[in-house]
Amino acid sequence: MKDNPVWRESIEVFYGEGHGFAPYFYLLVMLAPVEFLSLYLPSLDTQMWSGSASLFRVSSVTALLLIVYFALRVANQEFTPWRFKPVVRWMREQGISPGSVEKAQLAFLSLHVGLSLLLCLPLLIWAGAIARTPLSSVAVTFLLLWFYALCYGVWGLVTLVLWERRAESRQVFIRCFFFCLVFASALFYLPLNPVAFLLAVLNRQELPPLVVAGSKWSASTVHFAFHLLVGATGLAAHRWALRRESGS
Amino acid sequence: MRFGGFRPTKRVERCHGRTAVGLHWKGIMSFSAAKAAAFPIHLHDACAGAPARNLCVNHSSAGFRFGPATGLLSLCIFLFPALGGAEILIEPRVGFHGVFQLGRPFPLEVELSNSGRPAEGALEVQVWRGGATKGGSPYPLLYRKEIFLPAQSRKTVQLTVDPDFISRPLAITFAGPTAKATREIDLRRYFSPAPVMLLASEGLALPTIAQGSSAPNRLVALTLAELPSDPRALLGVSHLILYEASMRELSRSQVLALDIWLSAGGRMVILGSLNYGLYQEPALGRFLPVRVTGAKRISFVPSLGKNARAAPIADVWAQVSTVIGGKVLADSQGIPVWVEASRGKGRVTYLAIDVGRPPLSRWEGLPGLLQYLLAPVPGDDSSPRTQWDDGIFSQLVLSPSFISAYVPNRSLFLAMVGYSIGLGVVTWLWQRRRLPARILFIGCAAWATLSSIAGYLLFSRGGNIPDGVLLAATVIEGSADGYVEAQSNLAVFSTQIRLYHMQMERGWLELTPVASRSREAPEPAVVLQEGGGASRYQLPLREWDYRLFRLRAVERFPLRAELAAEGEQLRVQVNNQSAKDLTDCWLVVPGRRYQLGDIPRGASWNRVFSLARAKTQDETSLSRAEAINFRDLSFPDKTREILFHSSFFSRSSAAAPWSGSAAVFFGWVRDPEPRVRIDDPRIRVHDYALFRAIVPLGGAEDE
Repeated sequence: MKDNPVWRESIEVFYGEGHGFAPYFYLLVMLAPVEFLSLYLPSLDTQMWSGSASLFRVSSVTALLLIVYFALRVANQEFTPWRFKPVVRWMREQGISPGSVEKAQLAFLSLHVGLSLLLCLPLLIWAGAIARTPLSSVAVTFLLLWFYALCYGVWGLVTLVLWERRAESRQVFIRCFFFCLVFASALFYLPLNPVAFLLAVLNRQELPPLVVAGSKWSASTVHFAFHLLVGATGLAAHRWALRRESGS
Repeated sequence: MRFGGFRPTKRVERCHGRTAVGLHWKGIMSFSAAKAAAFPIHLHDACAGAPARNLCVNHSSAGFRFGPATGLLSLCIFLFPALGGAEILIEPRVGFHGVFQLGRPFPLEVELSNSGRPAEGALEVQVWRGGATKGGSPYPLLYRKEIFLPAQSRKTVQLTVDPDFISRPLAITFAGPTAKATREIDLRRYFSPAPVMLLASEGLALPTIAQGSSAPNRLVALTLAELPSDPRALLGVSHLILYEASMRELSRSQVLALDIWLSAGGRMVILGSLNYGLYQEPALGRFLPVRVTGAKRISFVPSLGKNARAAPIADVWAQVSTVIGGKVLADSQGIPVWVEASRGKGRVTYLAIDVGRPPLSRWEGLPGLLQYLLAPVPGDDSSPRTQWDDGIFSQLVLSPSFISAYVPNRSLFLAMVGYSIGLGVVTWLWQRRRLPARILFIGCAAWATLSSIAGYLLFSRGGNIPDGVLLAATVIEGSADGYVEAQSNLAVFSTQIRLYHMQMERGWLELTPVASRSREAPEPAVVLQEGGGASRYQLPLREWDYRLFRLRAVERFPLRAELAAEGEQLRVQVNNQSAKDLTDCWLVVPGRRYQLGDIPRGASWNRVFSLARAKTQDETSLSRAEAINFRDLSFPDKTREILFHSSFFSRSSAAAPWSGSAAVFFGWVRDPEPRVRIDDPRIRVHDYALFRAIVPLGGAEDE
């Protein structure tokens, strides 16, 4: 991977030149106040005073939204896009194979998600300790955040390759995609929604199963199947888009 | 049927009110529960399968007829009872000779008889609290006491139980490793809707007093030794009538219980007697408003109210005494005949004449006189109640000043700032390229990991988050004789799943859980454990759970505040002989308020304030100013402010004296004595106490 020029370019622009610090700064600047102020806000629970009891829930949901959103934007190269060489040029002028570009972009997305989680780690761990959340629940939360960020973030790569020269279209698509999956999915079937699922896991609640044509599917199965499908479709679409760009 | 040398006989016997037909063994030998299980035919068949209604479940007492083959075995078992099993019989006695007032605590005496081997176990009495009348779901309250019963022994346990409703039976259980016995009592057979009157007398006939009482109160005659040693057990008693009763044999706790009961509003009526020596005993002397010196015959003119006077009765035996406290309401030939003294919220009435001997015992007007004596005294209203509910509790726990009591908000803020600074330093080093990128990346990861671990240890295992918090907000109402009534509002809330042990201080009378509107699930059982002269409540709480209580206590607190309206002036006298300082004291009268500062312990303070209205006020504001306005009062401590406005002086209680024209003196007690203790360093205790004295001013509004 070290010799992959796409990977090296991403690392150099994002971390070497420091252009990629912005999403991490935004992430922390939003997560920390939300976490601190949620101590003082009455929750909507039946026990009105339990602001501190839901500290970890509020913090982890905020982290989920922020990490997924910034993963999509980073994958979509919305931060200093002019510093990145277009994918088409890598493949056509530098002779980089679509597979190498795919690997580099996926590796960089994983690195960004990992770094985001690392930076959020203290804040979420502290919230968990204050709210008396079991460590197992904290660990499950981190796994879910990582899972959602990758499943959704890969669609940022898809748009980047598909509409590389149309930055505005990409941005609109990314935001619509984020809104549909993270918010509107709850309108159709609540367990599909990552926020609802995360809260259900933390509250140890049973979500209603999906009943289709008489067959019953557990909420967890449907949730993970749906998200694996979203991730796998994104990966396939990314590979297809890269092949298409290299061929044309 | 035969077992070895035993020969069964069939007989019918009464078993705790039920007729039991079964196979019994004649003789004196008792069989263990284990043996009974092995030979189930030994049990009372009818009772074993009977529904739980006033029946003894474990009563495997059986007998045998001595036969030649079993003599040695029987002798061995008789001489070594440890070889047999424990056999427990529960015999309860409810209330005062089977009477108690509904809705008030009452004494329950449980006699445990063990006719087998020694047994150790817990005696549990379960009553039901909450329910529809209390606005919440019913939950069991368990009274628990550890008991050791030697072989062939009998032990009596006194408890004070307080069910909220009696449609469900009271269950008594003795359970230990070697024995278990259960009994249920239907309390509906014992209750009285009105308070009970107790008569302790050696010679006075019950009918005489009974005729004298026209009230619906049930009169129960008992000996003083039967009085409970817990003041709470006396809360359902309105009057204690003493005649020729010696208090010499009373235990210290019984005397103290009487003292507290009196201060909490009880009435003691002491009838004089020819045997005046009994009245010179120190135990009775502490209650008497007179010092008895002798007895002599007098001519007694009965006074039956304002304008009713009967003909004089000659040669009535009366005690000679000198008044040491209280008010003489009637005297005859220089002898105080009728003296009344207040004691806290209660009252002691002393009648010097001997109503149990002729000529008064034969006097037809005696029932009327006694009726007059026992009549309720007007003006014995209880103090205005404080407010305490989920809403006030929510205000408290969400107030920024109180959050730090259970959440380390400052530490969290500092940790966030420190973490951000650390990341800022790493970023600065990165941009300055002072260190290689690899080292900086590792440093950043290490900083985040170290921060996480340190913060986790600090916030979860450090001393910053308590397992729970006990908040006690108390209002102390002043009274004339150094006794005060304290109303405490308690909140216990937990950040962990754990059991809380609350220990009541001496003088507590009632601990009532406040029903929560927001709860749908049934409340968990509360256990009250008595032992070592202390009462301990065991309360399970989930994480981030809470429970509210109201506590009433009577205690000695020699702080006296007297407010007397004299025309346009109000004289305020405060004498603080307590061990506590009063801080942030205020006097509030209609339209005005005065900040009085602190009144330290030992200080005496006397001032006159004008009640005249401020001349700058117009007529509209004058009429509005008739009521006291607490709205603008504020305190530096926000928790105090919330407690003051929402709980202690709530505007929602329209019947409170401060809603009309009144003068109110109050001050905060510095470092108040806790009325409830939780001896656990992981639980923080916050105590707030306010002393108040309220005097109605009888202004234009009242007229």
